[in-house]
Amino acid sequence: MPELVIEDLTVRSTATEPPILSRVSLTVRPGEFVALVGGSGSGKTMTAKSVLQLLPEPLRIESGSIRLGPLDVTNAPETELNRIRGGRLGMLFQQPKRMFNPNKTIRKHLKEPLKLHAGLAGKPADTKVLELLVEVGFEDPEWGAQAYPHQLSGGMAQRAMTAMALAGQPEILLADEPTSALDKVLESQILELLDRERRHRGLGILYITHNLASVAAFADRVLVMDAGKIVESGTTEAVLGSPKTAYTRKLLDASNLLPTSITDVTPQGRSVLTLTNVVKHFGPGKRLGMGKRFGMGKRFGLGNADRPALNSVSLALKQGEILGVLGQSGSGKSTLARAIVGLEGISGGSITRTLAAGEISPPTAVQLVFQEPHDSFDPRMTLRASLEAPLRRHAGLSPAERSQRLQDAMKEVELDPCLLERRPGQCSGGQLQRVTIARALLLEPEVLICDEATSALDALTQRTILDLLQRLHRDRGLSLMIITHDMDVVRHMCQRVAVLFQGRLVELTDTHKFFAEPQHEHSRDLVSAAIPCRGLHLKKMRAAS
Amino acid sequence: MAPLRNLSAVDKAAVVVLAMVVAAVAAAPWLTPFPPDDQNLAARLASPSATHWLGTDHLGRDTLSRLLDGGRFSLVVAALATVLTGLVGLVIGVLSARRKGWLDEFFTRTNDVLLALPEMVVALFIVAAMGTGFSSLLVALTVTGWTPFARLARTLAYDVSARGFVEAARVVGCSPSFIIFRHILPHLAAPMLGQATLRFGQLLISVGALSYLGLGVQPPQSDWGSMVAAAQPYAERAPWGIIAPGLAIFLVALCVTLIGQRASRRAADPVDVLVVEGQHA
Amino acid sequence: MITFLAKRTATLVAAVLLSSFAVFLIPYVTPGDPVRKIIRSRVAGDVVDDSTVQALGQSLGLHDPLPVQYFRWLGAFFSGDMGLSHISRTPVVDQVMPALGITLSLVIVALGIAVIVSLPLGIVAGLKQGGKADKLITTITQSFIAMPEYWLAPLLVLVFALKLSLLPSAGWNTTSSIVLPAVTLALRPISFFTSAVRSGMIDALEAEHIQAARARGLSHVQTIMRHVIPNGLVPLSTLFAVWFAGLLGGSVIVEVVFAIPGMGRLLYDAVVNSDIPLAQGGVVVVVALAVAITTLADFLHRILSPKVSGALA
Repeated sequence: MPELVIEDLTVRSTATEPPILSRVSLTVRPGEFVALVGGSGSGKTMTAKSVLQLLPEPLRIESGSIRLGPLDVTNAPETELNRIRGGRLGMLFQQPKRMFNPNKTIRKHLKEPLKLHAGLAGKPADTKVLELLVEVGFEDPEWGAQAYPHQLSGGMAQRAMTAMALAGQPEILLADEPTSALDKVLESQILELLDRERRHRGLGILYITHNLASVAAFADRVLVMDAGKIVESGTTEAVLGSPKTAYTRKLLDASNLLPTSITDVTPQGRSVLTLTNVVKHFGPGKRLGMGKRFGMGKRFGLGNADRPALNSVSLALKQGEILGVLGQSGSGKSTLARAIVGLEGISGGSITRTLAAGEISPPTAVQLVFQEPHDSFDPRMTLRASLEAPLRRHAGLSPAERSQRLQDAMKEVELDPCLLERRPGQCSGGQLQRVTIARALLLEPEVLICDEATSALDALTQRTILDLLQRLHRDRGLSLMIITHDMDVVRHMCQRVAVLFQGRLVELTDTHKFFAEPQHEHSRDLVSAAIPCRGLHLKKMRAAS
Repeated sequence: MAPLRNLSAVDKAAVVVLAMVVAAVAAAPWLTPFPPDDQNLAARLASPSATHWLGTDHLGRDTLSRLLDGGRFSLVVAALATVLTGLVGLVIGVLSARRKGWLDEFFTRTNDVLLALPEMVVALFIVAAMGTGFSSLLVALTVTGWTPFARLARTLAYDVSARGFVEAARVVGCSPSFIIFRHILPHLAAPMLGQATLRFGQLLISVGALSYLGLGVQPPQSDWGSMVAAAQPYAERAPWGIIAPGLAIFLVALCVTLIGQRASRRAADPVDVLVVEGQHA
Repeated sequence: MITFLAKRTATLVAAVLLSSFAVFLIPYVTPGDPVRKIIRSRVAGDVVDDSTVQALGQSLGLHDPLPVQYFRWLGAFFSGDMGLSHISRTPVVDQVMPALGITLSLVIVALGIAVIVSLPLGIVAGLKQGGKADKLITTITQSFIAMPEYWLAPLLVLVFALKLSLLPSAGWNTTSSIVLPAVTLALRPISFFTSAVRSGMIDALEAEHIQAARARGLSHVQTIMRHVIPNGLVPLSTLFAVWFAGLLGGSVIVEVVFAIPGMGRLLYDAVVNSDIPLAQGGVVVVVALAVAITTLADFLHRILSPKVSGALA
């Protein structure tokens, strides 16, 4: 089997702009698992698109070469390229569900590469579709084949995408962040699937990611990319074990979250927030009617209308505690956060906020940090206007005092108060997430709930936000509820862990106990999925066993 | 509003033509060369000439004078109807989106039924029931015309309400009125204005249609629609009688449509949502 | 799907009931004695003296509660008894049904023209977004929206019937009678269809799955034929139905201008002459058909676009 060789590849849009990729060289041999890592915007994806000759306008390959065996890809005619794309070169994408035509079944999708690259059509193609779906782990391939993309979960969609890539009998697989939209359990499943195909088929894999933990577990070699350049490369052990550049160390640091130092302290004292038997039903699909005829309407409805989103959840958040709430998507963890701050009414049970003296605290005493920082602010307002709004209503402050409060809050979250005059579009996600926290702090909350507050951020930014939250917890005695699917974040931050599964609270225990001996079956799944991605020599150990 | 220099040549032309027509119609009493109702049976169905720029009609009345005079009725009724339908639609749409429940369901159903009913038939009925005249014309146009605004306002208000920043505002304790006036309405303003511009053109045509059918303006007052109807029997001898008023409607409707399309497109472009970080290159 | 079906059907029934009830009330809310007006639409021949009116009112149940009267009226209506026209004194159903047939053929031809014209225009404009062809097509088809039918129709008559003598100027006698009215009627739908096809194409082109299709080896042309055009045309199905339904009673102007004895003309005459039973018959038939068509289109849209039937996007 041939190898993929990229040599001195330089890509830019116009001569005056700095290059998107500059002198990138890398090689993927058959049967090799190569990781290309870097922060967002470092040029990883563009490298993959260059290989397929599918660079978006106006990007052009300025110099350098891409070769697949003896074939020069950079100068190949379009018909030759169409044979390679999806044939000898398979590709996996970050958002698998968006990569399917929503109006066609999985079977129709799979039959395209089968026809184009394997010359299969009709009955034999149908049989092959089912074989491929079994190979990538569909338990019911018949169902999978007739399903429409929107009916698949994220993990299933990525498996189907893998089947589609395998259908063309590729020699090299370009996997562009194939797991970053998935949770840890699914991530390790997909990577194991890819690794298995690598062994069985002798596939060369170029795995593009920002997640170093998964690299450690699967990759043979690592290339680190920053601002369009390869800054470091070598075996996985060498690069991750003894990184030579500051950038690699920073990446490594960010994804290597140490267990919290305060795990053993179970906070005593009063509860600031008490949930008793909270139930939330969404009921059967709610219609949003009008305008539907023009395709503008939507239908909301939960897949399973009978199952409550929250089913008799009881827990108490102690003062000064950091509680992690774990759960996969659909487990009810976001509904829990929304119910606590009153964005969703509850169908049963009670939610009580308590002050020191035992009185009920005001609703604003519990604040929420959302997942999407760019959506948390009105794009039309300056940040100052957004932050001042709640102050106007609550505290009878003079304009000067308000301004002072805003300045203080910005300084507390380590931001330049000048940012206040900007609009959200002019700030980065990390900055906005800090501003969200600043807005919450202005109301002097007792509890801060972070609903996947760092999942939309890259690893480096995530780390700085987590550090900030820890400092606020220490300095202000703030109680935190961290809702996430990220096991590392929980272990790094939390003293106690609550696990939600299908709307039920299935486990509530100390963090170290949780990781040492998870009780519930689902918790065990979560923990075992998280562990393999740690430790640098795991791949070798597994290969040996 | 967009500064003039950002407009394409076609858009600029549309703005200029529209401004000229509106100015001419507004200044009609000073511009008309003849009193609009002045009959001159000696000069019936005269061709365009230096005296009568656009010729005369079957009673020898000057077409240009009648055009300028009649335009006032057409434009004013269409403008009033646009404002009325826009306000009614905005209130109903935002209320439906915010209150949800039975109110939403009720308006949705009403909307569905009205959508199924041919607009012209409903308008015919209202005018027939209330009698012809200015106010019944307005009522007919409003009853049939609020639905596009309501649908748009409702969809937008619903979408904006579900955005993170509205939820964030609720969590930090902003009042519902603050949320409606500071968050929701500003996001509705541009698309609603774009829609209003488009609807103005359509309402102008509808006003003309009702007048053409004899259910709008009543003689001796005339508007562009009734002028077309009056000139039709003499089309072969005096085609300018039809061409002029129809062209006036067409030009104004075309200009506002072009401007409105552009405004709607601009409103749909989230130019203000510039993502700096978090995009995966 | 089943609940959706049930819901849509319920809406259909509700819409027909609601509008038919409104129509039923016309004799009661318009000036004059409702009993006399209803008798006039039920009994051939003129009834003048009060005692006969009283007796007939009694025997026709016109003093019963309104809901009772309404359902009796509705029952008669759907069994084909729509009463007698106040003007022509003949059964309404005998006027409504032929008129419906004429309007249906007019609308179908007009929409056929619209689809045939707007499909290629919309596809070209969408695929070459921002190009010269796109600008030209967009500007011209947009101008069709601004074209008043009551202006275009006389102009077409002037040119093609009076000056060139190619086509008949009015009436519904020969096959060629349909050309001018259908073209006039097609203009606005052309504008809306073209714009819908164009933006459908643009959306479909920008969808991320197009990249994926290229990445699995489909050529540019194959991608467009298999994934862009079929996806881009989905919105047209709903729009087509909305226009179909709307034109059933929306061809008033065209039918008046061209003296076509269709639904629009019938409704117009009924309103102008205060012919209550004729108006009632026309409106209920048009609404029932319009609602049925849009409901059917909703089902069709669900079949073409499977995602709409899914929960939570």
